Amino acid sequence: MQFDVSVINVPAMQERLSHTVLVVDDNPVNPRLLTSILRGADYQVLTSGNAAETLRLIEKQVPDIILLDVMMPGMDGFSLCRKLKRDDKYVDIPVIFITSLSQQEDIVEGFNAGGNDYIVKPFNRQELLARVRNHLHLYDMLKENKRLIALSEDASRSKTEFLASMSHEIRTPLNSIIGMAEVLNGTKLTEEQRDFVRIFRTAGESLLAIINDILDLSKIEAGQTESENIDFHLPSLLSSVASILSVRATERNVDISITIHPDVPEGLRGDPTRLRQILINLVGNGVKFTENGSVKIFVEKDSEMKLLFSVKDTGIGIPADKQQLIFESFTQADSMTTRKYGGTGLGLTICQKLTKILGGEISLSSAPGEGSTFFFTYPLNPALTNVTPDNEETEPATQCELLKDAHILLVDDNEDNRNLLCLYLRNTPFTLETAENGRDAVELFKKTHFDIVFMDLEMPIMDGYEATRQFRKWEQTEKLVATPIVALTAHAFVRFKKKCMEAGCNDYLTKPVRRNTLIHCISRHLQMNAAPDQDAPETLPDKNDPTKVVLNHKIKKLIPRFLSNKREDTKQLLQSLEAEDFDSLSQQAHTIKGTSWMYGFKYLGDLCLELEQDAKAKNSKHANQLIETIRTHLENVTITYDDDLS
Amino acid sequence: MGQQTRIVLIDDDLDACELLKLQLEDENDISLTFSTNGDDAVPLIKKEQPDIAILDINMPGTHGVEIGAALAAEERTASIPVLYLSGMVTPEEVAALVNDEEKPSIISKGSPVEDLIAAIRSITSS
Repeated sequence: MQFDVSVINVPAMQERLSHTVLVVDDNPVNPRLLTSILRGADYQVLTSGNAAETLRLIEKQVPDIILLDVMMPGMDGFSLCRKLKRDDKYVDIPVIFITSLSQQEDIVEGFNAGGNDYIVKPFNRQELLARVRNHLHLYDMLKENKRLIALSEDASRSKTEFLASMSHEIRTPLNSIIGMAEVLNGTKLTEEQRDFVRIFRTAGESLLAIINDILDLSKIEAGQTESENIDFHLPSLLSSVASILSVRATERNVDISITIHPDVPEGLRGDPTRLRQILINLVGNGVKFTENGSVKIFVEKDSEMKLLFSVKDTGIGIPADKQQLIFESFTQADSMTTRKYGGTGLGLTICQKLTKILGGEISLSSAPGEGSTFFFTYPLNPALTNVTPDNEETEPATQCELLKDAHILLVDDNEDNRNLLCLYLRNTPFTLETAENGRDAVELFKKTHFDIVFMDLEMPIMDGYEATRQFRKWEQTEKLVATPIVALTAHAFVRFKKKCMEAGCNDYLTKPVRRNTLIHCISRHLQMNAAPDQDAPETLPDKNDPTKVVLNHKIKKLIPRFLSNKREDTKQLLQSLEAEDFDSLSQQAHTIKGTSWMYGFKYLGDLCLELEQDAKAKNSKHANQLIETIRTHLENVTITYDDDLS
Repeated sequence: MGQQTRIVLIDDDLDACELLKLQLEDENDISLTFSTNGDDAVPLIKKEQPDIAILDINMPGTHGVEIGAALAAEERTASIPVLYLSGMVTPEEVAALVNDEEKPSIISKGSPVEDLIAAIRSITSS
């Protein structure tokens, strides 16, 4: 966003010393009188005899206030005022009508035309000066306000930029620290060495957690958090929270238990990611401040509309006078706590803001020595589809032998990162080639076939965005199938993600990248690209799984182009949304919807229907999520043809 | 049989046009010409003199119903039957909208292609 600071940055004091008043009147007598009154009060005075002259004059010298006659030959005062008030440059300049028109409807029309005040002739000199002074005072305050707003938006922008670049700078070396620890842990080590590795790996991970907390909070504060609305299985979510924290809990001899009241439905609709984040924070806190005790999670119905979650620990407790304070940023019960227990003191602030975003409230009950119970409410929306328990995450790394071999290109200027990925891919069927910058990558890409590309974004000589664009251009001119390109960056901000997608990337991984995430990502993209006729399904596709689509075999030859066109269309959706062009967004969603339905992509069509409605309602937040869902769907959709099934 | 049914399709989405061309021409007695530009609709239909014109309703710029009205106003195209395709409504809503089940004039893009073929047949058989 660009601010026109030149207009508002004029020092306010200088303005106040000598304001300029423009008097517009076709009768030469009136301006003379007004001029002498105004000059007597130390104002600079300009005069103009008609609307056209006024418009020419203010181009050159913008007055601070305009005294405007109504009845003039050519354009009258009301019309001139309307014209000025429509122009961004002049809209704030106060306009006072001075006229002999004293009828009620004239006065009303004057205000309707945008006039700030209305004086009926003959006027009183003192009253006129008082009114002029008042309006100038208001105008000065308005200008000062605008200046301050611009300054604070500038500051807030710098803060966000700073956080973005700081997070980038810190994540890059962290990537090497955590990654190397993982690699080292996989080599032959003595018991003692293994312990050392564990310590530096844990330290790296805590550092990463702190950075993530800071980033989370700044995103929430900048209003950038977007909440999901999807179906999820509550018992699975709770077990995953308990299992994430189980190692820490065992170390501290803390028992984590989960109790869900039978009234609570298992399938819920909402934002599982944020809910998990809140629970991990609260349960994690409970574990942190408890030794040899328990942390109990209860879920019950608070009302027909809300669920009540309680997280009860038997830890050190919080004194009454600190209980409100702990929800504030960077605050713990006292500074001793920080030294003893660690942490940033951001966890509860994040929890409080997230519960609010999700439509709930957080509170606590605690006494020193008796433990604490955190309560929060969460809107109760039953799932729309049949939700089943999540399977324990299958570790894709263990399935390496099932993976096909693939040739991978990694573009990254950082040697440590290149080495790390090489190490990650050791003992896999994948072969890796590397390039140090975009230009080398483009040359390599034109000579060699790659199954997948990992692209760092910020590199010298040619950055990842430009390289990706050139890859895509080359593929188009050579009529090649699009290679999956995964952006690899330390930026955790959504807008970078959008920028990579626009450049032509298919996916996005945030550094530090873990080995399993990387391998999972490769296998996902390779499966997606596998020709459907090579992988005849062994079982009938699950009708409830929207990513599995069964199509008429007669239209098989149209499908690759349909999918690639719709992927392109998705980028346009995003562009329209970013330009807040809701009419185009609605039209584009409408078109994709109709075509998707015709092809038999029912779920895709339904998503676009929802998007079309969001566009009409100008609900950009939800629309943005939907576009993301559409994009992922287009990437993950697997197609079966009806003649394969028999 | 032996008589070809000639159709002109106007839809702004190329993928939609290619799909219908493939699906309808799979019925051996149908041939289809299409344009993705609503502005070409009237001249193209005038030139081709098809048995049926299929128009997408909601297109950027030109509205399918406007094209239909222009065809009706033009002497050489006035008698060409028009079928509208709409992404606006679901099959259920179309069913509620169209009273004349014998000769539906709006087909939802959400309906199976068989519905469209049936509608074409019902027009050509009358």
